[in-house]
Amino acid sequence: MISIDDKVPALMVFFLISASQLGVGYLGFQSIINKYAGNDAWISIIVAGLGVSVIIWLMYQILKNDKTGDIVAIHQFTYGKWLGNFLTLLFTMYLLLMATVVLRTYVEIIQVWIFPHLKVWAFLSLLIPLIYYTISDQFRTVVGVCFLGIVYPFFLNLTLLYPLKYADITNIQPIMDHTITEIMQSSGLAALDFMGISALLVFYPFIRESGKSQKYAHYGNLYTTVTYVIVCLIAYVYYNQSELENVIWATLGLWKIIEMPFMERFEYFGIATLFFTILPNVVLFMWAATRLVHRTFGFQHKKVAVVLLGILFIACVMSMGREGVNILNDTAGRIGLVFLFIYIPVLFIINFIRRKVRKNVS
Amino acid sequence: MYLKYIIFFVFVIVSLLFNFQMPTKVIDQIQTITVAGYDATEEDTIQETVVSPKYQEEGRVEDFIYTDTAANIYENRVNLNAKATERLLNGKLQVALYNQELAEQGIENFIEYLTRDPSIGGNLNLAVVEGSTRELIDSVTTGKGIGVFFNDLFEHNIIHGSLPQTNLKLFESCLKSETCDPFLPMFSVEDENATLKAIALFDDDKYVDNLPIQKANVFKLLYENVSDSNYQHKNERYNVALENLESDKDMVFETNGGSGEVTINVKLRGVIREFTGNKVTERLTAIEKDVAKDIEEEIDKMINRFQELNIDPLNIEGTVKSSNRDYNKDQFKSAYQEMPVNASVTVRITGTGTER
Repeated sequence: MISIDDKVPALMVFFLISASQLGVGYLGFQSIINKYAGNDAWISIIVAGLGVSVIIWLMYQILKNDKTGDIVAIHQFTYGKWLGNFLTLLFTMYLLLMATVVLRTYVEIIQVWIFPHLKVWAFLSLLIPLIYYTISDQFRTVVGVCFLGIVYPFFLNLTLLYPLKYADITNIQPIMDHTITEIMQSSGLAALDFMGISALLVFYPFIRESGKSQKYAHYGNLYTTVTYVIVCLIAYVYYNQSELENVIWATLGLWKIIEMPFMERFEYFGIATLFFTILPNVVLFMWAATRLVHRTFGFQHKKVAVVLLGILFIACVMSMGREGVNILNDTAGRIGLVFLFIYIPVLFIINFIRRKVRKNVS
Repeated sequence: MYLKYIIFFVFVIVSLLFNFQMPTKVIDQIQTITVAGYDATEEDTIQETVVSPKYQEEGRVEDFIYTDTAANIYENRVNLNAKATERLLNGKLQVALYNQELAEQGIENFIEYLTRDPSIGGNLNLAVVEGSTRELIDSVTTGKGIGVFFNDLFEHNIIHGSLPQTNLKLFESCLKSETCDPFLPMFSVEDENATLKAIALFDDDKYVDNLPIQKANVFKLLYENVSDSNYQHKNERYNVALENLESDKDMVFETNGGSGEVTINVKLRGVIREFTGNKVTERLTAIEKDVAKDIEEEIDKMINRFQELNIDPLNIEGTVKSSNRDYNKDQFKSAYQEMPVNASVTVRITGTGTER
């Protein structure tokens, strides 16, 4: 049983949800989601945000009706012990993969923009102790990092006003020039930037009055959606669509135009601050993965953390180069899409049937 | 318990030790390039001239100028580094110059490295040079450094003069876009002085023609909303100079049956600073009409020329594309040269200075 001291107020769900969603995707999603819908791709973010809200509702329906209220118990209840634990293990691997993607992409950005000679392994050995420190003890530490991960980088949103000087509204006109199908296809790509919410399935029992926290989860998702839409719109009026094809990190590219008397390039400052949006991602996913292994197999939490961090370290060092990072991103994206929009509804239905059947038997 | 802290320390120290060996860029041991100039040569090579300032005591700046020839830009960097006492780096690049000959062959390949480099910002100024860039750079005599000289020259002409907003970001945008053709300011050496002479017009990335700087204020009115510009009008009765011009530009596309037509509405507000007739306050409406008619004629001439050259620096195609759902690229391209583009200018004179 989790003691009340380990639990966090329901409001924190807002920060947990947004911090887990805003990650490396934020830096360059604009040139990915416009593949089908072109200049209307910002609409598909709204569609994706709404879709994710539905998934959050489904998750809460599953979680509320379970005594323990986390994915391990739900899997065991729904599929039985063996199959349930196997699926939990797959979920753990998915969380690990996401942590790897986020961390490795961030390291790549540092390599491209600031230190081309940065040694990945040496840089990671600086971060691993920090991550271990955060995830090895109470969940409250992780929540603290997530809270700061929203508060600290907030002012970066203001710097995005600067590029508006070069905005050309004709770049997004005519609005709704693409078919509904194209917008839906693009929203499939946009959903990748909302994937982090799956951690909710793990930290749910750590929330006080968890049943009432649902509205904060939706607010968190709303905050993420609004942020994405604004950043996307700014990038779409700043760049034209053919220009976006060549840009890897559109949001970072917006900072190229900022020039201050005391600072020649704003990116260095921006990228350093963005560490506070990256860290909550990694920390939350790693904590969730550790917690799952601990719950399933009963190993000691701290020891599991060490082993998983070792795996994270090796995975990050192994995925070399731009191609490697791309493959990682694509794989994680596909798995995430299947997990959120296919697996969660399926789980909801099976879980629902299972509950009814069990009730009737007793 | 202590083991944990020992391991933490080992991790951190190892990390710092190994990343400590990264190559450094100490400010005293590098030379930052402020101006880079590119010239076409006879073979398949380009000549590059770079300017790198060294700060002497008491705010004096001495510019080092290096020139060499190679097949591409970074190969040339090797040659230039062989001449420089310290390492040459791009971080402070302010102006990139391309000579007319090179611009006629296309400059996309020489712009590309600027946008790829994360240490170069979007505010970098680009310009075309009539004649050799080395000659232009040599002609500048200034105490504040050649890079700052050009940067300031650009800045005041953009903010208060008749040069439209231009920089790397806008050039790149226009070059990549499928709807518009870029333009750049053009320099030449006149009486041993670097002079902003014209606006160079491009077809895709190739220089095709230029617009003398005296006409650039009309171009600027069509290109953007002007906040501080000027216009001079002359007829047989009087000369008038309008200063402190502010304008609002609005480009409208209308399809009436055929291929449609574009109307550019320009609203101007300005103050008279020079007038050779008398009783200016009584003739304001007449002057307003004369000036508006004059500007409209200039606009017509200018747009006819653009259509003759089949270039679109004003992004008319972008306007058509964004306001017309039936837009078709091929159809527009074939219709563009014949497309009616009307200008409607209204002038409002808000002051006449201290004289009646």
